[in-house]
Amino acid sequence: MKLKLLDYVFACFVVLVSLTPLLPLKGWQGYGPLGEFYYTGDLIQLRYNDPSFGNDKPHVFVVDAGRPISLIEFSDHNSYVNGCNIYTNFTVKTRLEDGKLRVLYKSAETSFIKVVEPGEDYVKVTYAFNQTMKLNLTLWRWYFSSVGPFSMPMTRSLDACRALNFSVTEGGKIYVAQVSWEPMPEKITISGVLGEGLNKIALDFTAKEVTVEVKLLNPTGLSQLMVLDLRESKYLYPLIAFTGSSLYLWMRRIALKEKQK
Amino acid sequence: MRREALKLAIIAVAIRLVIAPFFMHTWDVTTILISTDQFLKGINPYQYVLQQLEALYDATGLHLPYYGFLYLPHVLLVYTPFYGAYLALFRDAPLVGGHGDIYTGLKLIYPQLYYALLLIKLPVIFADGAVTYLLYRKSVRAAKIYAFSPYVIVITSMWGNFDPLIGLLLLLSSLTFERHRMLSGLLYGFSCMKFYTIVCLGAFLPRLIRQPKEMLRFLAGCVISQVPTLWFLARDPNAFLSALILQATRPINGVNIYYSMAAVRGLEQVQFLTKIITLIFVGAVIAVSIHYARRKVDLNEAITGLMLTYVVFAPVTNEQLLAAIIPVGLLSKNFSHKLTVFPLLYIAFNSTYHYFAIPIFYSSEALRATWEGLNALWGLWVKDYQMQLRYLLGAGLGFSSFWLLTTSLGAPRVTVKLSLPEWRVKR
Repeated sequence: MKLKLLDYVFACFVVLVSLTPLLPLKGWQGYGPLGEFYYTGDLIQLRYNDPSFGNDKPHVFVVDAGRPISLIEFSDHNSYVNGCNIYTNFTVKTRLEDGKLRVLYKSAETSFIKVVEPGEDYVKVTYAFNQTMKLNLTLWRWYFSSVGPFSMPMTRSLDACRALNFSVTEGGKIYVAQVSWEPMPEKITISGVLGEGLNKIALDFTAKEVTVEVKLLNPTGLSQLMVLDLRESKYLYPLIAFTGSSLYLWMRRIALKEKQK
Repeated sequence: MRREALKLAIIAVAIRLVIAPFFMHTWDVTTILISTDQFLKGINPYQYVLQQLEALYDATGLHLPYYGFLYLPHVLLVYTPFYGAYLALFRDAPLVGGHGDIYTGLKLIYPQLYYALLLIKLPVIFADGAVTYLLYRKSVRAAKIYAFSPYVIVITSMWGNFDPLIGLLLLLSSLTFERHRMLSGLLYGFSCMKFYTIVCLGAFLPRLIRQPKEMLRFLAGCVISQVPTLWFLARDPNAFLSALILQATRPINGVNIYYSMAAVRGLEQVQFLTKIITLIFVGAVIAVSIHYARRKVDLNEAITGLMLTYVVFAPVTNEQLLAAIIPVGLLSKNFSHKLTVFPLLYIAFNSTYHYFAIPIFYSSEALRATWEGLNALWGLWVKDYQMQLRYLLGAGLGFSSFWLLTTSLGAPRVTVKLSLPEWRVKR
């Protein structure tokens, strides 16, 4: 007894559907259901969360072998403008315009704009106020391997500087990036969780406009091809579909043989 | 037998009652509470959904779906007496902020929450008791499977969704079809409060095509059941229809073979793919309906088969969906309760089981800290393969359901040929 054409068609259909994540979609894509905004580039990916979440505003990922690896996260939840929490004290409107994500924050007292502008291997986040303001900004990663020359999770105030290198480790690989800013912050503090690692960079500015740029420093080590490390990889979908389809057809054949007996 | 059936039904209800107060799917329970509360206050829940959609558009500039009250209004009628009873006991809502960030904005009021959860789950728990009782009279084995089904218990008592009630209505509609067409149509119409049972029309209507009077009776029952729908439609057509359209055009999601598309990060692209999948789904439902009609397949088998077609091909198949199929499915030759393994495992990687336990863990600061630690740890364990595992389980459910579906499609026709034995003919 032979398998029916329907079984083969269905197996092929499942494999075909599993290939959709490999569609070469690049650039900004607004995506539901939660309203996150995604940016997909060759080297970096961004996720900008919807209004009901205060984290990932944006979250910067490195793309290595099709897998997004968390690099650093801008938090509204733990950032303040003139002492007012950005997440809880402001209403937000987000718009995609000319390849940039513009976020308008408004409260009874003040309003400001955050602009997220991704590039080939960097992302620039600008906070523009209508007058000089105090901005306490926090950047997170669970966990950094190192921030500047430090890797121990102790709270430290760093000397004023224009940029800070940091690294994260995933799958035995180290990814190095630089966070730089304009103007110079009044205070730079790093801290972490004992036994785990450094997880926070806090920056205090007083300015009318603040720009923070995250730039990947070792993009040459990244792979565009599938490698053995398949964690979070989009290549896993067709692999699962192909294995599942083969298994299904094999089991159907066995079942039909049994039935024939 | 009646006594035995009643005994099993009571045991099924008791199991569910014990669990009910301490678990919930925060988002879905919030939807039920908000919409019922609005209904009691004379506010149109569909208008609220429309406002939320507009607010989402205003906030993001995108036409994003809002997963609020997207059912037919019968749901409100089911829950109103029970939430009304809660409000008679306590004035304030038992939870606040269930549609926001649960880490910072969720506020649960104790012990009111336990009472509210118990009360609003009662109609579905009683429905489970009724299903157990009805199944017992047809098959003791089926009744026992249903009464003790971990999956059904999770959906009814832990999740707090009402798909098992849809299952009861479909079962009743199928059981009454031969003798009371109008009642059957009425019950079927009620089952459409979650839109997915619409596919079962392909099981009911073909067998009435040559009986116009019977067809009219069945359809009259369906129309009567939709009086609440028509009332809401007449009251605010714009709000009602936008909720309806939103539900019908939801982007691909759930335990299915399409879950890989969740990794396609583009709203427009996903909406385009959803349209293609919807066309394939509609085509599959029509083809299966015609096939069953030609083969004169038994009603219960046809309902089960069409619901399995939904599981395999529909763009959105939530974890709860099987709960609506199990009552009729357990009486079918082409269904297996083992299918429930897939959504049960899927829950662990989507909502997560500790999410259901929020009412217990949010009751004290220490427990809440434990929950947050547990949540972070689980996230850390599954983060690398979370979406792929969901896809694996969706594909598993898709292949298994397709197997059962094709078995039902290929079921041989029973032909009985009567002929005289040769020796009789010779004589």
